[in-house]
Amino acid sequence: MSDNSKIVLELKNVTQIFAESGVRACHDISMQVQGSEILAVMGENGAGKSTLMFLISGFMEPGRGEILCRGGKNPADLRALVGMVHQKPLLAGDLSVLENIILGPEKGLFRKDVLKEEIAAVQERYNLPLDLHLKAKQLTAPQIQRCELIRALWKNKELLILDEPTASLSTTQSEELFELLLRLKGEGKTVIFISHKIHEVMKVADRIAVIRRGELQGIDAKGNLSPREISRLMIGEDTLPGEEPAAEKRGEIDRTGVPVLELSNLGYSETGTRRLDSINLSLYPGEILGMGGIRENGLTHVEDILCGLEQPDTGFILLNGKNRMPLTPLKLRRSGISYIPADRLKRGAAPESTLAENLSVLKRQAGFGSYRKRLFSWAGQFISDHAIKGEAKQKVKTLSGGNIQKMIVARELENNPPLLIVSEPSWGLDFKSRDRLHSQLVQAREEGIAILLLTTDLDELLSLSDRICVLTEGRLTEIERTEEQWNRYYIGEKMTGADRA
Amino acid sequence: MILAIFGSATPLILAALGGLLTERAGILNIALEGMILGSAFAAVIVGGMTGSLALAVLAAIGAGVLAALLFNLGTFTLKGNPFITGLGINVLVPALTVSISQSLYGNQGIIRPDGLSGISRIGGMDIFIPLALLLAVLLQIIFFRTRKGLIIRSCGEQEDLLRARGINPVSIKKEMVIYSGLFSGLAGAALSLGLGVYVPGMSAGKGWIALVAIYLGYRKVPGVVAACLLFSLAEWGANRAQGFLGVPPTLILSFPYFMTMAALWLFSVKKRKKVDCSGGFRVN
Repeated sequence: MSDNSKIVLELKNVTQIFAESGVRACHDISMQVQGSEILAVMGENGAGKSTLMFLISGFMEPGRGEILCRGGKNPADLRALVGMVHQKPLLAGDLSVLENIILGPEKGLFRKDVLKEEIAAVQERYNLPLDLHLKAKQLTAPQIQRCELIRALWKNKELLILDEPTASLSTTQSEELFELLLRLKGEGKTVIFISHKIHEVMKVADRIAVIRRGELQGIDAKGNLSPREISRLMIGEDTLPGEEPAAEKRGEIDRTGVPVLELSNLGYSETGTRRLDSINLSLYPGEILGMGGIRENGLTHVEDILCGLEQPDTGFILLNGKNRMPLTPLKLRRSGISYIPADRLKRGAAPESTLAENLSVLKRQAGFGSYRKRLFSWAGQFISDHAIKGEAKQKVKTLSGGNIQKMIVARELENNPPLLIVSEPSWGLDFKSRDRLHSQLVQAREEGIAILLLTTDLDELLSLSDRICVLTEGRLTEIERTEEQWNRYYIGEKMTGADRA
Repeated sequence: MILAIFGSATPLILAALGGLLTERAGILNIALEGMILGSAFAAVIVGGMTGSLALAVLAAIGAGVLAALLFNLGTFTLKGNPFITGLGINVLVPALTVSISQSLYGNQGIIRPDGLSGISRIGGMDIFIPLALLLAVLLQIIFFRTRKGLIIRSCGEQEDLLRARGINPVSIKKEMVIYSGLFSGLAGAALSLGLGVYVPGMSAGKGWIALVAIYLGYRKVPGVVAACLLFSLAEWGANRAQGFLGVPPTLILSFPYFMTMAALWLFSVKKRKKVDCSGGFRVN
């Protein structure tokens, strides 16, 4: 099938680095997309899939490299070729569905009745019912997706890109979508769809491309890749140096008392889709419970619910055996619980304020004289005690990511909390600070602190946790501490859903 | 009476329609007030020199567009804050008119050139009245029946959508600011040519009231026109009431402004009640 004349799109050494954040979203990606095929692009969250699709759809222009379609590399050509169904809703809420569909760079008047008939014919043909008069802001996530799909079909786009189309769909809706995609392929259209669910990809895709940390790990026909291989490509093989088997040195943990944290039958839905489904767990003093998973498979929602920013639809959160619903950030802090968020600059620190101000919650600076002076001298001492590279008067945003994390960790551990919620603690840290952070967490556990570790990093999960559970599509599975299960491959397959393909 | 109300509402309607264009495109044109005053001044100066209605109106439009270009320069080219740029224009224009009038006429007060009075009246009615209503209808058609209208309406809501469809939202915004300069130019001309006189500060907050009318009219053309008429009715009533009410006239004359505040307050109360369904996409 790889006949050279049928190439629809070609990427040559495409690299995209975001100037503001310095994030390298795509690095040196070269690949070809052929006519009438279904290409699945897989990878973890933040792997650069969406950015790549934005580049292909002409929404962004690549920093380096080129994207060729029909021999040219004009973004306008790309836009004419590609119809994209976005992951995040990209519609003008105050415009009707019809108006959103016909919006484009064309000029002049439009005949509403004629266009409506045209679009209705497309809907009829592909069986995509949707009321064209609804305002876009009234639509649910699956309807928004359908609206964008109708537009792409009406515009007769040759290449359709669907960014995580099944994330907000039920199983039957997904089945319907895949049937439609297969039908479109039969009509000669090309489909690229993004997913991190291996079982769906194995069902419909012809070829599979795996992206990890902005790099193309492999692209091959479905037959040449097993679910296991895909899962390995997605999570990576590299083992880090200086890994300490911290958890194994431990004796038995007393699990007879009252758990510090107990989740009972927790459920959460978002735009009609079930994100978390009856989550039960209990966490006892002096243990690290690792929760692994892909972030979109519910890990973010667990984090948001546990830090009190979101309220679950069902279930309870018990702290020290007491029902603490509804949990709010204030209640959490009043109970002395510490939280190290994944998003350091938005949740973990106030980037525009000084280091001293960010630390000021720890100690009330009572006494006579200048408050500022006392705060800064105390903070200066704190900073040098914890080996943070920075000045008390420095704004937090001017620090390096590793030092910001150091500051947050030191602050959250300072007052010996009963419970520590940690999310992605080692994102973007180098090996040294990562090791330091891990030994800090282990030491905290020795002191009897209960730690809930939410992470997508398998090595971190395995080396720190006393117990591990994995979140897959909203459901929690506990990993047994056996030779067969307690390894990165088994957990990786559980995480990506490869075991169900 | 109706003609009087419509007459005083005309500049307001024209300015509000111009403001509505920018507001729908996602940028609030704070500089309406300055644009109106500058155009009113330009209309009287050129009208007085040439005695021609057409040239006077053209000069007013030119002044409005010039102020709009200044707004674009400050906001988009130099990436300044649109509020500050707008306020800057509102402060600049009155000062500029004073110095120009000083150098041309040797005074800083009222300018009343000969032969300008009633220049815009044709058949007993101010031509700006039908013009304003015509433009209102035209704008309604543009918003809901043309592709450009779709672009303008989505520009204020989802700029990324326009980018994805290959349209540059910034150039749409710039264009709309220029159109609002044009509309404000007509508003200024209607204001000063209707009387045949330029009085310093004659815009008297009309630009600000126009901004209020935009929100009060739910950002829709008929609503905005209705809101403008309501203010003019209040103004007319206040002018009449001076004669027979035993209240200090300054207090009565400030009635329309009080009404503006009250209306804005009521609007925000009403809006707060239905904020659930207006906030972006529905979550169920």
